[in-house]
Amino acid sequence: LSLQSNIKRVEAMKKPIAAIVGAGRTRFGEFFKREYMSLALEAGQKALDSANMQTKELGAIYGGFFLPEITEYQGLSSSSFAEEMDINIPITRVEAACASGGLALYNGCLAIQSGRFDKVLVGGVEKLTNTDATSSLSTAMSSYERLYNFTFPDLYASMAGRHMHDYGTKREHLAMVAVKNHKHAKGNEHAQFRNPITIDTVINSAPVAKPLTLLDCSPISDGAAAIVLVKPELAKDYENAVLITGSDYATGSVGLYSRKTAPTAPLEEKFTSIRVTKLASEEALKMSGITLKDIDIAEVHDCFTIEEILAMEDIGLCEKGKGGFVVEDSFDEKSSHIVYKTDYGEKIFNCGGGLKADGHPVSATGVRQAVECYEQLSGISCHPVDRRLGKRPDYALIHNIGGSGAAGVVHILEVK
Amino acid sequence: MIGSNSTSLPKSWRDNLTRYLLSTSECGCGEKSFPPRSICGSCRSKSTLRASANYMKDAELVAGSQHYDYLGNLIAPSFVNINGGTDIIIPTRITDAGPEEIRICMELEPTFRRLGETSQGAIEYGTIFRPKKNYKRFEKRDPENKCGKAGITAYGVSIPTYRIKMSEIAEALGKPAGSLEKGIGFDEKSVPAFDQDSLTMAVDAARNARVYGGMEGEKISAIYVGSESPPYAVKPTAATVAAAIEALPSVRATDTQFACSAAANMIPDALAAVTDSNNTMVIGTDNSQAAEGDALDYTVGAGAGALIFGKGDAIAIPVGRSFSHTSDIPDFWRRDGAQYPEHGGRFTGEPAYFEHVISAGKNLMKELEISPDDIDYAVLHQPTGKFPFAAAEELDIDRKKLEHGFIAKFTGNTYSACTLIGLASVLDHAKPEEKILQIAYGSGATAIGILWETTEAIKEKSGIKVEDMLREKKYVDYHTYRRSKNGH
Repeated sequence: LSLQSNIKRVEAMKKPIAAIVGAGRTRFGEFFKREYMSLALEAGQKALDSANMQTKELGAIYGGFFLPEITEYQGLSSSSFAEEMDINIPITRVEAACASGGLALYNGCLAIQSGRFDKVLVGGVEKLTNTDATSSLSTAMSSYERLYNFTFPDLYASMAGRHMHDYGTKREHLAMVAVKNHKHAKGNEHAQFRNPITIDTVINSAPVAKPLTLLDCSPISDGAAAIVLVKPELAKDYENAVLITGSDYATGSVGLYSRKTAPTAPLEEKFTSIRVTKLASEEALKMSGITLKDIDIAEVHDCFTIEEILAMEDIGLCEKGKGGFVVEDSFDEKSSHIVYKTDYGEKIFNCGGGLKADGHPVSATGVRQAVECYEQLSGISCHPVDRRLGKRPDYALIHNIGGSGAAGVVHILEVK
Repeated sequence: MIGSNSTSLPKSWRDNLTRYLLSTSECGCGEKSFPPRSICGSCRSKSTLRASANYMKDAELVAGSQHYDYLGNLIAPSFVNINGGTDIIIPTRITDAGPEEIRICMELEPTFRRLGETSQGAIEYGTIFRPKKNYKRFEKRDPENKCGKAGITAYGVSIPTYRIKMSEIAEALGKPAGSLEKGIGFDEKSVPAFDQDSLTMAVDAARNARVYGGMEGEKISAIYVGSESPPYAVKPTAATVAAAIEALPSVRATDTQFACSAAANMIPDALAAVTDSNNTMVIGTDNSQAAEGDALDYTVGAGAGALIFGKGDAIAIPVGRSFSHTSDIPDFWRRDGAQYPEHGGRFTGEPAYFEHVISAGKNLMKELEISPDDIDYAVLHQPTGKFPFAAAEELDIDRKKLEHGFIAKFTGNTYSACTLIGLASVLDHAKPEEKILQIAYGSGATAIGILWETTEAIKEKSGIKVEDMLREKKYVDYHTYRRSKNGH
C-alpha cells in the first residue's frame, strides 16, 4: 500500500522529455587487459563523435557504475572521469545494481527536464572481470538472502521454478529465449556471444541453479556505453535524433522474500511477477501518450531467460502466465529473427541479443539498451531489424531491472 | 563447505537472535516482517508491534533453487512460508535433502545449522529447514503425580540424518568384507551433514528437550555442555545454546571437557543446582574426529543428548548419590592443536574402560545395597559394541537389560552424548518405578555411575522417540563421510 501511494502520478505529457543525438559503446566481453576508464572513455568519445559534439558543450554527466568500490576499490569514481576528461562540470555517479544504466538515463532526463542543462552525457561502465563476480553481484540482494547462500541465479531460478509450477511454463520456453537472443546477436558486431545455439544446447549446458543452466544466464562482462542527450528543442540541429517520450523509475524492497505484492495478490505472486516492471512501464507509457500496440521493438532485461518472460507479462503484452507460450508460439528455429506475437501485435525483443548474448556489463546495460534502440530507430544500426519487421521501427520500450526486481526503469523512445 | 559471506562481526552479532529464533514481528495493522521491525513498515506504529520466535514451527516451501558447491554439496537456497498462523515468507536454505526430494509445497521442519562465517572467521549459526520427518512428537502434559524431588523432567536427542555402513568403511579402506565389522559390533554410524557440528546438534537436542518438555527458556538457570569436539577451541558452545533456546541472559552457561564423560560428570552438579524454581540442563554432544584408517574411523559417530533437571514433575530421580572411579591414565588423548586423537589400542580396554566402569558399577551396587537383579535397564558407555556387554557380564547384569540403551549400534560412539542418548532411549520405554543404571566413561580416565528410578510421571511421555529418530536416514559413501565430518 505504501508503495502505491508513492507512485508518481504524472499527467500525460505527450511532450518529448529529451532527445538522444549520439550514441557509442564498446564491445562487451572479458577484457582482462583493459581498465574501466579506457572502456568508459571509448564509449563516451564515440557518443560525442556521433553527435558531432565537443566535451566542453556538455552541461553535466550522469554515469551508472555499480561496483567501483569493490572492483576498483575506488570511491568518488565520478571525479575520476573529471580527471581523465579534464573537465569540472557536475558528474554524478548513480547506482541501482543492474539498473544503474537505466537510472543514469532517468537522471539525465530529469536534468534536461529541469531546464538546468541543454546537453548531458549519460554513460554506464562495469569491470566485472576484476573480482569474483558472483559474490560482488550478490551485494545487490538482501543480507538475509546472502546469508542463506542465494546467488543471483538462485533468485531467478526460484522465480522460474515457481512460474513453471503455477503456470505450466516449460523448460523449453526458457531455452527458446536464449536461442532467440543468440540469433539476434549474430549481426551485432559488439556482442559478446554471436554463436548460434539450440534448445538442446541450452538445456544440456552446465547446471547453474535448478532449473537454470549456464546458457539461461547472461554472462560476466566488461564494457561501457554512452549516449548524448539534448533538450527536445535542439533535436532538429542533429542528423540522427530520437525522442525520449516516457521515463519512469520504480523501487521495491531489496529482498525478493520481503517484496510487497499488489494489495490483493497472494504472497507467492512475488516470485512470478516483478512489480516495478508494471509500475514503471505503466507510468512511462502514460507519459509518452502511446499504447502497447504502438511499440515495435523492446529491449527487456533478460539477465536470466525467465526474466524476459516475466517482463513480457508484467509490461502487459500478454496475460500473466502466458509469456512462455507466446515465446513457444513465436519460435522459428530457421528464422534469423524471432518476432513475438503478443496480445498487442508483433514485437521484436532484444534486437542485438539482449543481456544474454550481447553481454551484461552491469551498469553499461541500461545505457546499451538505449544505444540499441537509438540506432534501430534512427536507421544507423549495424544489425537493423527493419526487414524482419517490414518497416523501420517507430517506437521502442526499454526495460532495465536492478537486483531481483528491487529497481525498475522504463523508457519510451520515438522517432523524431 | 559454506564460506565467508563477508558480514562484519558487529552486524553478524546483532542478527544472532533473528537467525537463531527466526524472529518476526507482527503489527496490529496486520503487517508482518522478517527480520522483526521496531517501527511498522506499513502504518509506522511503534506501539502495536509484537515479536515472535518461529524456530520450532514447521514450514512449507514456496520457491527455491538448487546449486552445488565445488565440493559437491547440494545447496538449496529457498523461500518458505512459516506455518502456525504466522503466514510470512522468509529466505532460508533446505538441508538434509536430495535433489529430487525438494519440490514446491513440500513440508519442512526446522533444524539448527552452520550457515557461514563472518569476514574474520567467526561461525554464523542459524535455524534453517529440512524435509519434515514422519515421527510423532509428543507434547508434554502436566502429570498428575508429582514426586517433588529433583530429577530428569525432560530429555531430547539429536541424531544426524546421514549414516555410513561399517561395510562401506571397510571396503573404502581396502579391508576384506566382514573382517572388522564383527569385532566392532556396530552396524552403521551416524554422519553429520556438512553444515552440522557438535554445537548445532547440541542446540537441536536442547530444543527438543525444552520445547517438547514444556519448559520456558528463562526457567533454565544453568546449562552445561560437555564435548570433546567443540567448533571453537576458545568460545563457549553453551552461550550459543542458551541463546538458541531463549535462556538468556541470567543463565549460568558452562562448557566442560572430560573425553566422553564431559556431560555425564556434570549431572550431579546440575541436580544439585536445581531449586523449586530453577531448572538446569546437561547436554552431551560430539562430532569427534578420527584419522583416516584408524580404528576410530569405524566407530566415531555424531549426536547429542540433552537432559533437563527440575523438581515437581521429574520422570526419573537419582537413587542416592553418584559413584565415580577416577585415575590418571593416558588411554586416549588429543594434543592441543592436533586434528585427530591418539589412543592406546588394546590399552584402552582392561586398565582403562573395564577397570573404571566395573569399579564404579560395583561400588554403586555395594553402597546403594542393590543387586544386579534390582536393575531393569543398564546404559554403559559404548566405545565399541563389545565393551559394554563385556563390562555388564562382569557386573552380573543380563545383556538384555542393555539393549534399549545400546544406540551406538546405529550411531557409532557418540562420545559425550553416548549414555545420554542411551538413557533417552530407555526412558522412551520405561514404566514407573523401574531402575536404570547409567555408567559413563571418559578417557583419561573416569567412570561415573548413576542409578535412576522412574516415577509415575514417566507415563506422560514427551518429545520424539529415539527409535523414531533413528528410522529416517540416508546413507553416504566413505568420501562424503570424511568430508562432511570435517565440516566441508
